[in-house]
Amino acid sequence: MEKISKYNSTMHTLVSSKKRWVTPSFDSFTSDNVTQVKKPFTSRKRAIHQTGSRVPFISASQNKSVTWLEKYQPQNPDDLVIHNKKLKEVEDWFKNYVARNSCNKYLILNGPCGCGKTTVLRVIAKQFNFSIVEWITPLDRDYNSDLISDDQNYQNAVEIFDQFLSRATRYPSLLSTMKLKLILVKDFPNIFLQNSDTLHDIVRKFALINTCPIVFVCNDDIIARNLFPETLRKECNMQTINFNPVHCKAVIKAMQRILELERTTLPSNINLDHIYQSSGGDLRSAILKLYFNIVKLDNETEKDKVTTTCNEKDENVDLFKLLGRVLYSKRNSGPDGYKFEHDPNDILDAVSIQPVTFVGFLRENYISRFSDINSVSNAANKLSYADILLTQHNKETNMMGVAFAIRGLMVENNKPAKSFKPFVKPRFYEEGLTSISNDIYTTFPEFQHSHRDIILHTLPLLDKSSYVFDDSQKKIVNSIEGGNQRTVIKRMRKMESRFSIQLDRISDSNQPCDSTLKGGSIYHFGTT
Amino acid sequence: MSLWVDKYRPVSLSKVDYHKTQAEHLRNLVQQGDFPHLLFYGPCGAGKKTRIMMLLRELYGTGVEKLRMGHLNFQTSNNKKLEIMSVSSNYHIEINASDAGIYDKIVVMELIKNAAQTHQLDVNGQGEFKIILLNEVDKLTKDAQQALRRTMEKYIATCRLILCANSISQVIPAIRSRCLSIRVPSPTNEEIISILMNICKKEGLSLPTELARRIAEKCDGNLRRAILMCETCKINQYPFDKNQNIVEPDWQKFIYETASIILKEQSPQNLLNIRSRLYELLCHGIPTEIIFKHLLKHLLKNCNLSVKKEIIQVAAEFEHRLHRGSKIIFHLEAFVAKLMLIETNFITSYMCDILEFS
Repeated sequence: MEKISKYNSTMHTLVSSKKRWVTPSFDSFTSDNVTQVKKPFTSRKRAIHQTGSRVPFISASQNKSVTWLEKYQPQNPDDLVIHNKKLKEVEDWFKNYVARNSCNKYLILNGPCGCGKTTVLRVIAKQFNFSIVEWITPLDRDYNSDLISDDQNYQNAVEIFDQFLSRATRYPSLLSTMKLKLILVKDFPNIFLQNSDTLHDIVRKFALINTCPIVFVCNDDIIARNLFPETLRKECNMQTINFNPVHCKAVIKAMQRILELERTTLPSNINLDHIYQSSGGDLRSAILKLYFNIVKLDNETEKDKVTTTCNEKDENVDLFKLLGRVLYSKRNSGPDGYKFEHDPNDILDAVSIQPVTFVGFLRENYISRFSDINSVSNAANKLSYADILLTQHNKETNMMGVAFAIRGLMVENNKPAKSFKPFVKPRFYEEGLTSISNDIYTTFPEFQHSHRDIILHTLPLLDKSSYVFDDSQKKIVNSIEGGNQRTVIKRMRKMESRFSIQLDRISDSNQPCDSTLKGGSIYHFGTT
Repeated sequence: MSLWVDKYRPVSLSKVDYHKTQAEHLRNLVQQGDFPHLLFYGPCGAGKKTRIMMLLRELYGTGVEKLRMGHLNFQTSNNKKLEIMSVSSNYHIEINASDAGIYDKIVVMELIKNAAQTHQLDVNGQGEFKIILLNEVDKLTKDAQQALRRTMEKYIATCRLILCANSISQVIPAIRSRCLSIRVPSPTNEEIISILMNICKKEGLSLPTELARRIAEKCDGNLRRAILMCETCKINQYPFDKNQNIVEPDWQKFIYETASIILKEQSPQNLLNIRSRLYELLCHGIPTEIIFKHLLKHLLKNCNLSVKKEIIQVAAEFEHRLHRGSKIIFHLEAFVAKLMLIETNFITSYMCDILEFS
């Protein structure tokens, strides 16, 4: 019986693939082939269909086998699992737009993956009778050298994007029944990430002329900040709505709803809670995992039951938790010696920033977590070795460097200081020195010796002699002599700027935090 | 007005105040019209640069002194643009390649290629070859030094390199063997005194020998510093008094204070305090070996005899690691922490001894 059904379905796929020998020139005429510009659901559908033929899972959904993500996509606002306030924010924006039509054309939705940004937008757009046109960055661009040399045929990514926007905003779709239109940009062309100015120009241009709203969806704070700086947001009246990861209860509720509709139950060894935890507030990933577990189970029902486990998404541990785990290491004493509560290897795996930066963080913060000079000295010694390992341009030795630093600090710190102190970001000065030296050459052209000598021997003494400085020279002397603390600090800031972006992201994210740290908020920096 | 340092700088090899035989050798070398690549090395303020300029003047005449500043632009492989200052005359070009940081290799290669690929237009007027003067060769990365070594051989027909370094130990042996190394040692205290006296005589001032001696002792064999100190002394107080205060650079005082703090209290809290002082020093562009040297100097003055050996050993160890690693502060901090540990251990053992004795 099963064999026959398998055979049937393979035949079906064969036929359906044969049918497709002609590619339709008009997108929306064939029902199972949606336009390129819209989301390419079709390919996914087909892929699943084929796998479905091999693995006979879920009998109920065999005919219209789509993923649960699409099948149970919320259709009305009541189904959404998002917080009511956020929902209202998005609704308000639509209301405002409809009421006043012209102002605030732009909306930025910002939040981690799988928290329902696009879904909310789709549902509410439907409610307000908007049709959505989505920009998909074309991948099949022909980079033929002939074309590039020919100016008329070649279009760069910016132009294509620009043209898409102007076409999509100006001309209504022939097929759409909805009156209003909304443009959704999720997938930014790479060129904007490198050079955001071009996007800014386009945004400014369309702020003046466009007639339909444009919604940008970002899932990365750095990118969002880079693409849409604060000034631009103000200038073009862009509204930003930040989304948080989906709450535990909401995820579980959504999964239960799906299970109910599917009329299946979870096996006893898998817990919804477990699925939530491994997904870390990402609803999409949670649903996919649920699906996977049930599929796997169906497949193995007759055979011996293998314990199915969720393959876990890496636990999202933020930087501060990691630092806390290293610097306030907890030990559980066992029969033979002690063990760390958090395995140093796990900590190492969770490090998601540059090795050098992470060790920099550790070094900047370790001293005040130690209580006696003996262990501090040993720890400093180990960090010094770690730096040597980090200097080798080799990924493996770099990781060894981090591992060495983590273990060194954890082992040496046998009595962590009890008091809590805010974490400070690392400071590195090496890069600043070249800028000083260039400044010196331009401002003191008459000195023929190296900048090192000038800093060490000439300037400190000149300052006290009768040498007459002009203004720019005075500035340099002040900044080097430390006479003007502010310029020194400014220079330090400049050097630190590349870290600050990362840090801003961390301090902005409102992820719930229950770290091992004592004390309250740890999103706090010493500012010097 | 120009500073005394620049005003009384000797311009001709026949008028040097010290190392006279060496100057004679240099003159002989140049009179042939040709010479190999040169590598001048010696402590700062010993007169390397002065000798190089004298050498060029001997070779090309006073035209060498007409200098112009220029910016050289380079592009790295990942499209980062670099701008390096250069000083040049019709006959030579001078550059400090280590300013480019880790990109110094590109600077060295491009510069020499550009300068060396073309022959001089006017062989009679300009000489057969150009001179490229590279400062701070010891601060170049190993990559850049390797690049230098290849280009040195390749373009020997059209250019000569004059390299200038503080220490020869950081220069790779391949370069050392390709150059004629010339060591310019610091002047002795007597030489410094006589130079100071000479300058003051030319300025029409009377300098007490006692004060000149004190300046000579304080300047660490750095003639430039000695002359500057002398000038500041003159501005602070004239007529000179033999016991008058000699201005020292602020950073030096700062390092000495830091050393005293290390000896005063040994605790993690104090280490934090020292760290902020180290940051301050680094931020002001004080080179690390200077920090090491002066810290060590002051510590050795003030610590017990029994720990001196250990302290020197520790300093050598961390200074070495600093060159192996990349982030200065890691090693400086570890050094200070270790010093504190040595000091605490010493104090506790000392206390134990006293207790036992009593």
